[in-house]
Amino acid sequence: MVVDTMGICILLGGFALLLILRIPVTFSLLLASLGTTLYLGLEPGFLIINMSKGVMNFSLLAIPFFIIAGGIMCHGGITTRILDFSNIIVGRFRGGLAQVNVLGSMFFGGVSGSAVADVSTVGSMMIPMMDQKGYDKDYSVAVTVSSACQGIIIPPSHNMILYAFAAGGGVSVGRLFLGGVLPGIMLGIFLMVVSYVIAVRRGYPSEKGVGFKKALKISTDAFLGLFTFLIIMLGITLGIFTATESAAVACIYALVITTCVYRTMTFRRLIQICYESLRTLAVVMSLIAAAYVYGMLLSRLRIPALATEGLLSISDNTIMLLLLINVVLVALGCIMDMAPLILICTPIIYPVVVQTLGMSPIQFGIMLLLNLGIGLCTPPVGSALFVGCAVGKAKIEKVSKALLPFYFTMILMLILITFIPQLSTTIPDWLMPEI
Amino acid sequence: MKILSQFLSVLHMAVAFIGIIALQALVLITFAHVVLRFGFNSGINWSEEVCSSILMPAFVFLGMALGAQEDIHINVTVLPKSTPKWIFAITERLKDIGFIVVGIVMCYYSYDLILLNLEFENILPATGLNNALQYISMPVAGGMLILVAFLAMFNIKMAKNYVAHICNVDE
Repeated sequence: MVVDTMGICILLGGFALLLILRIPVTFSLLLASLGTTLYLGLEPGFLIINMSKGVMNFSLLAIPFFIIAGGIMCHGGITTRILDFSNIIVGRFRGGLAQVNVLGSMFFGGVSGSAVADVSTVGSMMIPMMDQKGYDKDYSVAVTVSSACQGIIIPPSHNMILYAFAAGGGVSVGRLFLGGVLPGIMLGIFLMVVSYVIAVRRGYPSEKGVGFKKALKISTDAFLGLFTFLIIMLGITLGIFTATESAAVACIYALVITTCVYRTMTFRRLIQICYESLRTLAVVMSLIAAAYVYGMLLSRLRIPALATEGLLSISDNTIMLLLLINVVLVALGCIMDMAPLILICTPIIYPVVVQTLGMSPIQFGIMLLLNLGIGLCTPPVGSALFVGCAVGKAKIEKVSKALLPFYFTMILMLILITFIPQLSTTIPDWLMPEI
Repeated sequence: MKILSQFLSVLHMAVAFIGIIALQALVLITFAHVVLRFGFNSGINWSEEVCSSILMPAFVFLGMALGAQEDIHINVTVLPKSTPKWIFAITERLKDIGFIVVGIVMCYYSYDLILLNLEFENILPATGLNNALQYISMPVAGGMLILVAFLAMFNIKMAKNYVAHICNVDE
């Protein structure tokens, strides 16, 4: 294989150098690609055509739709209802509010699909409440931050669409969504067990129960909001509509429910949601456009094939290789945000793991997302950790220490996902078998 | 100076509202397509083309420029906090230069593509609109990137984020 070392240096080294110089990831990708394009003697118009091509993809429209739907649910009062509903189910356990926090995040993650949105909305309600009931602040923030991690693997998650796109479009978004259900629920249960053990040791209180009538009203109210999740999952699983269409329907449904039933949505608030979504999308979608160009050059320089060769030269033991990949991904997750890592790492690691080691693309997707999700909770750049600390007014060092048992739990779940394919493939194989 | 800051604010507001309208149009067109397909057994045949080939690039590239203006693009913090301030000042300028380079490439080559499409009358199959529409937002976004970064070099930034003010969002 002919290796263009200079081209690879410009593409990878240039990108790394620009990142160190604090150039935003999108522009680092574009500038490194521009340098490589010029070095390879291609027309810079190559960049423009591929940037457009990267975003002119109907399935990518699901990302803005999911983000808007999440925004509507966040601002439309669904979070309060979900937390009330969670309180009915798990509030009476020891450390009830921590349990409510984890279960609420599990439901909310299914609606918003964003860990950071989860921390800021659930956290801003739960952390002061836990504070009032005598929970230690570092513990409250640690529970909120770690439980928000579930949102990434519990469907619908726009990060899953990013992965499906970066994997070259050969991965079904519907199967990916279903693949995240079992690991997401398991992670939630593990986190609840850890929270319970700590709560018992520290003597945190449990919550009082509510009457049957009130419980029924709360459940009905919450169900209307949670139905958004069902629309998406049933719509895709039963083949009624595509992921993109289901996201658009979910947007309109959420808008109707919050406007007509909850009566919490106003026109001004809707514009606010659209503007906030636009800001998020400005970052995510331009990253997609840049990563598409970068990905084209990666394959032109045969970097994925070289990565496969390099990894196989370290060891031909599958277990060792998977552990190594996990370590690299967790380490990268500690220094870079999730979306750019999905877009940059998938084209390089996917061929190694899926084509050479024979891992299912669904299993790899869930593994990758959880890996990067752990990164969101770790310093120095874990955005979920930062938001959690800001909301809870807690110190990062103290929260990081309180997070240790939760890190251990998440890493345990990661190992289970990595080595037990059935965890992520059973439900998709059962409900949406590959044709 | 004041006029330029004010101009940047108005430009930001105009682009943000175009982005918001494009976003709402995307949701409505896709929803209407689903409803018509189920209700009347006939969807909107141009919906996919308009959404993914015209509206999507429009709000993505305008959003890219908007993100640069609001300084919300993701970057990696590798340099420690103790790094001398003058180094951070240099990296800020480098960032502006990076924006300008990308802006120039976007402006120049997308303009070329637009002219090429107009000359050969390439049309989109479902709507019959000219292919040039796919690239129309790029020179605008590129121009905005150049302007915002160039003025930022002279410390001229938008006077006020009117959209954030109207929407009651943290700037």
